[in-house]
Amino acid sequence: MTTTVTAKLRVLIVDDSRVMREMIARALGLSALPIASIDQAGDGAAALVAVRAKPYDLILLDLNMPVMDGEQFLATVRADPQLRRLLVVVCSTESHPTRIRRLRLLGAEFVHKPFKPEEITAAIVRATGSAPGAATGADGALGAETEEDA
Amino acid sequence: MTRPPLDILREVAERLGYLSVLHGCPPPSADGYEIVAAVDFHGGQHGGQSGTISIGCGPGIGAALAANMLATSKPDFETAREAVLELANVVAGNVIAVLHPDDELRLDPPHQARWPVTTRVVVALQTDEGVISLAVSPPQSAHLP
Repeated sequence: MTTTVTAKLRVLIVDDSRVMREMIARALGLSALPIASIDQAGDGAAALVAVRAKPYDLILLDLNMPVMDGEQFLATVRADPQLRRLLVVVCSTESHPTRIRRLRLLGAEFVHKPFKPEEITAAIVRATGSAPGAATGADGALGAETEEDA
Repeated sequence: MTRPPLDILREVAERLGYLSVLHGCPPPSADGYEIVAAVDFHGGQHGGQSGTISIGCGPGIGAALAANMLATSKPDFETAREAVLELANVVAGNVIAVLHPDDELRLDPPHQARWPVTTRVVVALQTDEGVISLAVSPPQSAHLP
């Protein structure tokens, strides 16, 4: 019996800039990461609606956004028992150590803008605990699908 | 602002990699900008740190930026506008980190604006897409829709 495990990530990109969302999506598409789907949201409030409506494995999150900023979104997610285990990578121009420390305490990885595609890939790998193209993610909560061939 | 502005901007340009400060080159005139994007900043533990960072782009530069960012050949004006807003966002975040390293400042989302009338610093920056202007100014009240 051969067991094939595919950890395809369902990704939500949250950024008020359509250009940045498309740049990130392009970087993901060019990476060796196992991506199942990529959705987009323009602010934290829209992202909350999205994550409550549909399962995601990974959120790529901007900070400075209208309506609900990224830090508010992250705090809300971490306080929600249904969502608290969501993997979050913050992609921001933010560089103040206090704020970054606060984000890390909330369990988020961090990538500084501007970033190279390989930097965002590395941050996702740190967040998921899996190597690009690896057959499995950190745990079953990563949207892993197991196919068993008898 | 204790460090010379050009020194600060040179450091930011080095960090970003794709900008360089043009010495002795006056920025384009304010009425020559096709797109101006501004980011307001405020806060800080000492209070009262506020202002606006603006990026001004002449005709065609926003489109060239968008084309490079998205690897597309003919971006429309809205995409060009959004590309300049994103450039302003990235530049502002990095300028603030150098300008006020001890203060945890908040940056508002970038918006389209008019070129500021009163400025603290204005410089011309060379990018792959052409020369753009950067201004640090007191808080601006005029937002364009």
